[in-house]
Amino acid sequence: MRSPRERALSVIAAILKVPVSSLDESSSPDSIDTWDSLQHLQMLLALEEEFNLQFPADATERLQTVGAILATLEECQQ
Amino acid sequence: MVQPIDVVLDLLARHEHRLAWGELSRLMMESPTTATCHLVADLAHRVDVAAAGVATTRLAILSNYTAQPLAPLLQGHAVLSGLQLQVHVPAFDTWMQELLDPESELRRFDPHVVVIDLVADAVCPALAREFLRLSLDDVDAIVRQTSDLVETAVQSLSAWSRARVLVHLFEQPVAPTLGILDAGAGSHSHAISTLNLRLRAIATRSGNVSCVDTDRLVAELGYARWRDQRLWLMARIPYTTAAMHRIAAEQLRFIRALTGRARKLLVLDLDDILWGGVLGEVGPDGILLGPSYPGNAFVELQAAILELHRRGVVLALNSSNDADEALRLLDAHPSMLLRSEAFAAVRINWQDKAQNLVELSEELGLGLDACVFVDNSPSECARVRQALPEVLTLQLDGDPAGFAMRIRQLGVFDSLSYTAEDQRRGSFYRSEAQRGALRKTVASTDEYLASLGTELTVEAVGPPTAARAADLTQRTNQFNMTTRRRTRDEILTYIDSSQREAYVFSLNDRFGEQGVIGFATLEAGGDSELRIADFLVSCRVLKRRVETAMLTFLLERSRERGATHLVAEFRPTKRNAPFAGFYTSEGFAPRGEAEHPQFVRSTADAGAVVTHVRLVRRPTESTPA
Repeated sequence: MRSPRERALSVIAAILKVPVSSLDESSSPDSIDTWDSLQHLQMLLALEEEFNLQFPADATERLQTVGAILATLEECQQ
Repeated sequence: MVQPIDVVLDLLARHEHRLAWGELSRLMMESPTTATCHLVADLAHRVDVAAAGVATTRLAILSNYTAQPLAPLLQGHAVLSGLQLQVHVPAFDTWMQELLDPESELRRFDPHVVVIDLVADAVCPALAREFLRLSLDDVDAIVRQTSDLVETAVQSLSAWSRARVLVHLFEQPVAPTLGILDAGAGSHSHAISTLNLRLRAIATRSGNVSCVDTDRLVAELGYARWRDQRLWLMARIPYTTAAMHRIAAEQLRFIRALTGRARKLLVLDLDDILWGGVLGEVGPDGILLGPSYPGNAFVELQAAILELHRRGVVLALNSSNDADEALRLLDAHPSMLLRSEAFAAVRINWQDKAQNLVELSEELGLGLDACVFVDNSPSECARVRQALPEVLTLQLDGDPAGFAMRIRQLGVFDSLSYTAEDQRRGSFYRSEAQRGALRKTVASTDEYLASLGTELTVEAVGPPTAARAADLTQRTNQFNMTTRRRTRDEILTYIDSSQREAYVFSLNDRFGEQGVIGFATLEAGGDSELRIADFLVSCRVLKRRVETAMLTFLLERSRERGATHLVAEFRPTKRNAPFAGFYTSEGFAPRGEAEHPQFVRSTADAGAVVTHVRLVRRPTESTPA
């Protein structure tokens, strides 16, 4: 059974079409070419589906790095 | 941890395109999530279509909302239909320009299928948001303008393309302003119904246009799970993720029908599919099929299958059973809706089910990619998925109450017409793929068996295992060499003697603990011989050479006890006839008849080594209570 972190990174990697190994906490639209606003939205939707939760309304604006996304996921799951 | 993407990339690097596609199909079947669709969609494009035996189709989505998120979902789901789908989504709201402009990307893309999905909020916002401000004439005009827009689109397209068009009908308003009064002429609902009727009329007039019944999809999901107002306001995406998956699946039904990739053959297991229970264990009177639960769930499933049969789907059977007994039951049981004549071909035997499917496909002249296989057993389904990835394998387990609906919702048998010919049997075609599959299947049986990680544990029967051993002697009918029924007490008495030994065999494999699946006894005969008085194996684990491994153990044990020969007996019954040749095939020589056929083997020869079965001897003292 994979950890939530592994699952989240797999989802992000699949949407952004990058290897899981290339992702770290600081990965952001600045460091990854494929990360544009539409991919950002699709990534959040895919994560909501994977973890069966809904991000707060301002998530799209706030969550601009992989680290921020992982932290918020942890919060939401509690 | 090995990522699925690496498995596929590795297969592609080795030019194993068919296997790579099979792996993508497996990923989609296991976990059809958005992330998986994205992953699979990306990898599907690296597969060589010809080498993999799949087809390419080009789909364009013309919409007035942000439709890009639908593309990877369509592409992911399309893999299960053997389609490498290329999807073109014009830049936001430029669809009409793209249709009209001879130099457009849409023209160059040259789609096979075009979807037109216009949401009311964007194409006729007045209708959606300010209905009560409009006069009857205004409403009328808007309805006309909207349907004319669609008709213009269809006609512009047909000027340069023969693409099939899928027009999404409009949703009925779920909360019209007039509330309970919104009914009949002049109502909001009526306006939408009129609009949809006009769209259906366009479809009828045009000949290459089909309509997607949006209201049916909304009914299935429920409006709350269909519409995402947050996404609409933020990014002009009207749908939830779940709705987008459902829309993709629905569009694919049309695409499959259009590209001739509808499935045409439904192959069914018998036990725990057409009836509850295992026929070989409970007998014809013990199966569950009738007016009370759960028997009635199986009757419902049969009704659903019979409807598909009327639809033109060909039916076949693929079951591990005694053929005569099974076919007799099909024709005799009063609650059976599917009689033997409903099945165009049957393979009811003890052969590998993947092999059976290949033979059925050959016999019926229907490609494996036209086949759906339904079975209750996780190991059989895994076997078929691995050996024949083009077959759509559906594992039906859990509560049978849900089975009928799962068959009805498969949505893989769609065609564009329903004619008298369909009612009779539909049309057949041959596929080259199945010949390749035949070779592949034979080679991979050994690989598959090796991959199971089968561990066979043998221990002497004691008080904790006597009950299960007795149960096995009472229930096992097919692979039972002497069919001696024993109770728990009889077994305990039996082993209370130095002249006799009884063993239970348990099996463990990658699907889990299978429990006690074999029982054998050894008793002293005269003249340094040991005799096998009981030898039986549960039919769940046949075709794996477990029985050979058991025999090898008995030979070893006989040697340990100083016997020079091992003797066995076969008592024929109606049920065990298929296995009459077992001892001969294991190197035993016939030795006279006495009452029943006797066989003998020298203990000096080592028994056959079954490489994929690991035999473990467990001392009785450590057996848990």
